[in-house]
Amino acid sequence: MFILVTGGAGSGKSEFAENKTLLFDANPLYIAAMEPSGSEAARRIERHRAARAGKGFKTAERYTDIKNLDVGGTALLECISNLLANEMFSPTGSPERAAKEVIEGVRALCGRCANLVAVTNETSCAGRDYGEGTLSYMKALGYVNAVLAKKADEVYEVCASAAIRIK
Amino acid sequence: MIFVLGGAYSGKSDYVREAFGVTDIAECGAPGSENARAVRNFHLYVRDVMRRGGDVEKCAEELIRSNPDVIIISDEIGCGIVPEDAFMREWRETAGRAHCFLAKRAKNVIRVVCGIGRVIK
Repeated sequence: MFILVTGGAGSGKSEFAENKTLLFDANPLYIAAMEPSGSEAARRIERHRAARAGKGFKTAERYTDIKNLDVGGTALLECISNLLANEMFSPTGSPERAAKEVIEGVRALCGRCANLVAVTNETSCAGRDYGEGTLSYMKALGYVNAVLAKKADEVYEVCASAAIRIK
Repeated sequence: MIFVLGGAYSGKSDYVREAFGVTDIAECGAPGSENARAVRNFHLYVRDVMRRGGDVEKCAEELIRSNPDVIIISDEIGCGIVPEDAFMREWRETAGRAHCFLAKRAKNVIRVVCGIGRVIK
């Protein structure tokens, strides 16, 4: 089973995804893709850690190259948008290569896990008035989201903590 | 008329191609697009009409009148921070209103997220 969860910032998509994951397995793996690159990132990571403390997750930090991650059972991948940014803005990254890496990575995890829940993000409903680098990231994320949604068994859009099943 | 709305790069054009079997999607407002089965970037057309001082609702009305079965695709641009630039603010607001105008007249309104279309009207 592969479930994709999307939504805006602060929409409650993580909590929904965590609870969804725990329905499959009491001790799932949490794949954390956010790199603690500064104090703001560190605070966000801490907030997410505190929110899932005591829920039974084991944590694996993986900022790029998820396809070679040694996993099985049930896993929650948080999140696609961070992973894509890490792949894209790494020294060897490009939008095309990054999108391909993320898609292949998720495919590989789906092959190895009984259940995979992946969280992604909505970044594109506020126009295109951005720099070239940001636009190419938005384009790559839109592409990755559509490819993963096609592969997914279920897709949810979370808005103000309410999850709407869209597939 | 069918109205398809969604974020930039959310897979709207691919959705229209697959769901309606449309092969050619014209740019909204471009010469020769009057008889197209589907037109995209309606939000940019709104911007162009505004720039030349035209009436957006009248143009939208004419678009539907001359091509009643058209599929109109547009970007949702209203979900971010209020833009600093005055014209961008005006455009964002006008595009939102124009979307409501189309939605009221549309047989169906479809919102695309992650390449998935959901009929919201």
